[in-house]
Amino acid sequence: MLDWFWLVELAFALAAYIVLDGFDLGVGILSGFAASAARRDQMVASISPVWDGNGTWLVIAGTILFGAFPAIYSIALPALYAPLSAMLAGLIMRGVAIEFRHKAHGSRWVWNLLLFAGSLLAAFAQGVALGAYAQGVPVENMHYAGNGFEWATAFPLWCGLGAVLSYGLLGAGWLVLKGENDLRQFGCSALNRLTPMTVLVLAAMFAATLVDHRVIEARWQLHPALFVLPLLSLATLIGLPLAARRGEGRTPFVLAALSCALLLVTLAASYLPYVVPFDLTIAQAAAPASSQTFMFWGGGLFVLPIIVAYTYVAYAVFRGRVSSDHAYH
Amino acid sequence: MEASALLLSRIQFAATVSFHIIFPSFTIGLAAWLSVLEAMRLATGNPVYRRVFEFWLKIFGVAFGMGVVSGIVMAFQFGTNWSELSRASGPIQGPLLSYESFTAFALEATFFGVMLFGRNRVKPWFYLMSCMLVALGTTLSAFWILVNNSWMQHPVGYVVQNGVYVPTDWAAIVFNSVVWVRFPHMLLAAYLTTAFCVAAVGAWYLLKDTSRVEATVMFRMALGLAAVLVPLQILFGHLTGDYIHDDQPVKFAAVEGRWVDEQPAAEVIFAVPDVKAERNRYEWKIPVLGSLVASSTLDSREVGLKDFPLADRPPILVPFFAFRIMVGCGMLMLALAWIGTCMARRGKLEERRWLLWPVALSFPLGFVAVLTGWFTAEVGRQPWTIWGVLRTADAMTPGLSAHFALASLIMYVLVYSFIFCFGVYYILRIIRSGVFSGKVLTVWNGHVIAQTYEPRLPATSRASSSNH
Repeated sequence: MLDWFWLVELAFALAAYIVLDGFDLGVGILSGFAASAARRDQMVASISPVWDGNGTWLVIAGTILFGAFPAIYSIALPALYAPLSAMLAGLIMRGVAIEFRHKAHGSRWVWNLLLFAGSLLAAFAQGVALGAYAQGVPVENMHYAGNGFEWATAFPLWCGLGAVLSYGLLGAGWLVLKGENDLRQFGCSALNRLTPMTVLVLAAMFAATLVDHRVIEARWQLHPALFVLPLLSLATLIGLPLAARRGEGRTPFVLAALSCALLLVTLAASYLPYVVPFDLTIAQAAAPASSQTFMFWGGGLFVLPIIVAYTYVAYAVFRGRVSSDHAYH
Repeated sequence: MEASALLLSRIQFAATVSFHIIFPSFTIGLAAWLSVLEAMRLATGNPVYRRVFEFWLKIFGVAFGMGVVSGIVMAFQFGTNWSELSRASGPIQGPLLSYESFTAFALEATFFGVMLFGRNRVKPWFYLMSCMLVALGTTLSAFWILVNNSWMQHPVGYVVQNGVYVPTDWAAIVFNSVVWVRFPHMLLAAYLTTAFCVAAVGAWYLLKDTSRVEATVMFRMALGLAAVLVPLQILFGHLTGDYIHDDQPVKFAAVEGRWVDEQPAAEVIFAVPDVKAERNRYEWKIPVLGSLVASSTLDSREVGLKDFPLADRPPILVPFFAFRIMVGCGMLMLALAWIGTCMARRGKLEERRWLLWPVALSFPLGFVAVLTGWFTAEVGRQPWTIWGVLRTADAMTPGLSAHFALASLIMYVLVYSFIFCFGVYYILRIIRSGVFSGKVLTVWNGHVIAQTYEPRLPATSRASSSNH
């Protein structure tokens, strides 16, 4: 029972990470196309107070995995050694770029470049890691048994592209939500350009999964109702530019977040109860009950809701649009 | 191949964790001190505290960001390079690290944003609370990390089932005596590191005869705190030594540089251990003091390294010298803190240059002590990852290729060196530009005269100057 509680909490932390850090990584990627220093400053100002808290969800998800499902942790991380190292390098570079860029005078272009490149690298590497994991890693006797290069095939790399585009959409939605005039315009036009590409890439990912894995295909044929999930995701994606065109501030971001969440649910529906694709089920990967219980009575039951509450408070402090006279030091 | 992947993974972990610890050991204390300053300003309304706060907040921003980004790497390395460790001890170390991210990491990262950018958007009490929550987060983070590391030094409360360590007694894991001497030891080390950085900057401004009021506040508060905390730290250091003596006798012998059993034992103050010949060269030791330090008696029998098989001995040189450097830093800090506090009580600090110079140069002491202390603890734990249970060679990811390990090591070293150089450069620039961030008219008799009157300018140029 606790296995499932922790799986749900893990999925929640992952979804929170993808939506929250997704938008600030997306803004980082879009900052490479800002075209003017003033616009880039505003883009960075819109994420400066919150990016650090957003990134925390990755660590929360990672430590839930480590504590509640150590078997997954000890198989997935060696298998994803290269993409995860690249992701960490990207996250480090863009993190310090956000902190350092307003301190720099002559070298600001270095940090602008690192903000863009680091965000791009982190987003791409996350997609690659997810794709490599979903396509299945070789496992023997509860140990990873591959050569470390399973990620270097077409499907994971394609997923990397999908992650970059999805994060770009989230970032554009965030700019529409937080920006005024010029920045908002920029966000809208980014949404218009990114949406068709994202739809294409994600649809190809979905089709490739069905074709590649007989097990998944069989499941989807057995339960055609599942097709509602990708269709809903498609509908939300198409709704994005429409909502932006009607001048709605909040809707595009909410729709982008919703479509990411739906994709995660689609993924779960395709694989569960396997948590290491087609090798380990959730029961086999779970930590001993004493570990999961210890985490449940403190962190799981009480602290996580408190984190959600104060995250909301922090966002409320910085609510409202970022305008050009907004003084971030 | 295997051996070199092992060596590279060990170097990588040592390098990344050493780089990381520099920042928390500075920011844990700084967050707490900033909360105190903000509270004092709210209570007294004294603008000096506000100026000192704003100045150190800028430095906090740079250091905290580097601590956060370098810390993310740690947890991932457990999985990538040490997957056998994470598979076997994940049921114990995983929940402990998850408590860290749940109770500490999220808290400090979220309210760090408010602290840095939210001053004008929230009520003063809310701002103070944000500072205190960041300080609480950094402290809790240190707590869980020390619980985690202490379990690796002193594994308790578990049974082994199918090669996996299954926790049976969480109270023993979290509340054992080892945790409660090592956690205060680390917390005090962090406070002292911050105190000597703050005192050094204060002393430097006094030497330059600028911002005398603010510099005096920094100097007095920092060294006053250190004067109380250094003796306390020596006590907790001694208690930490007691647990090593009882639990990890071979580590204790290595730290003491004791090769054969002695009764009563002498204390080696300095020597150059010769590992091949299994004896010390250039030895200077004090009789009986070894028994006194180790067992608080005059005639106890203390064990030597030769009692243990070679395969169970840690590398001798690193713990032996690291420990002596740490203690040396502690003694210097004690002297500076006491003399500085006495002199500060007599006033006219700016004229005592013989004192200001050493204090201004004392900022590395805390960092060096923290690093060498951890070297003693961690290298002294070898050849074990989990003391007496799991050897480091068996903890590594099976079949990890040396190419991956080498590539990631090079990448981390390059990225860390790059951000470290820039981080230090920006911190030095903040310090050089002084406590006053606005326009300075002149410096007169050690006091900065700030420009408070803005001459009327045409609308356009005023907008551009306020953006600056």
